[in-house]
Amino acid sequence: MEGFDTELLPGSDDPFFAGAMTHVDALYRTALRMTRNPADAEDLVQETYLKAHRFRDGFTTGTNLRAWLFRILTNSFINEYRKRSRQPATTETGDLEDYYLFRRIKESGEDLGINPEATVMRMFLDDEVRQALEELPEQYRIAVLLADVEGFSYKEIAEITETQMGTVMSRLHRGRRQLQQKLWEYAQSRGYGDKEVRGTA
Amino acid sequence: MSDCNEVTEQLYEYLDRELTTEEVCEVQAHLSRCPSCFELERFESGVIKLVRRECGSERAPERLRERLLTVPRS
Repeated sequence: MEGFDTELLPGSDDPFFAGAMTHVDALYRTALRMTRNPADAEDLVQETYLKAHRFRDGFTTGTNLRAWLFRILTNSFINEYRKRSRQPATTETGDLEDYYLFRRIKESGEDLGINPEATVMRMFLDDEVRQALEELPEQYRIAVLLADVEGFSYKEIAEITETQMGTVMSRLHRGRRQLQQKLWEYAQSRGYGDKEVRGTA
Repeated sequence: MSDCNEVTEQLYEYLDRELTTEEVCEVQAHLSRCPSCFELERFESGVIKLVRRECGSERAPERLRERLLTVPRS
C-alpha cells in the first residue's frame, strides 16, 4: 500500500461509498447466482457501484440503501446480462404441487424424525442447493434469492424488481416449488426414497 | 380458527413474516394442535434455512473490492 493515498480509502471521505461497501458481499453473491459466472458477477457489481455513484442524488439518505443497491443490481442484470443468455425468464411447468419435496418424501415412506428442520438441512450434498437454484428460470431465481437468501420482504422485492406484490409471491412460490423438484431429483439420484434399491445394494 | 387448508395456503407468508399478528396467532394455534401441519412447517423452515446457508455465505473477492475503489465517484 506504499504511496496509496489513504484519503481515497472508503469511509475517510465519503459516507455514501462506505455505506455502499458494507453490502458488497451480499451484492456479489447475488450477482454470482444471477450470472452463474464469477467474472460476470464482478463486472455486474462494478456496474452497480458505478451507477450508484452516478445516480446517488436519487437516493434519499436514511432510506433503505441495501434495497436501493439491489434494485440497481437487478435492473442491470435484467437489462444487460440477460440479453446474452437465451434462457427464458420464466417457464411453465404445469401443476407442480406445493411443498413438493415434503410430499414426495412422505410418499416414499422416509422418516423425517423428530426434527424435520434439521433433517432436511442435512439431506443434500455440497453444491446441490446452489446448482438447483442456478437452474431455476431467472425471474424465479431472483425472487428466491432476494427472499430466502437476502431476507427482503415481499414489498422490498416488489420495489427491487419493479413489479407487483402478487407477482412477487407468485414467482417466489413457483421458484420454491421448482427448486424443491430439483432437490428431489438429486436426492432420488442418490437412492433416497428408493428402499428397494437400497435393500439390494 | 384455522384449518389445515388455510394454514397450508398461508404457510410461506407465515414463514416469510408477512402475516399480521392476528394471523400469526391463528397459524400458531393450529400448529400447536396439528402434528402434520407442524411437521410441514418445520420442514419448510428447514428448506429456507438450507438455501440461505448454502447460498448466503460467499464473500466478494479482494480484487473486486480493490476494483470498486477505482470506480469514479461523482
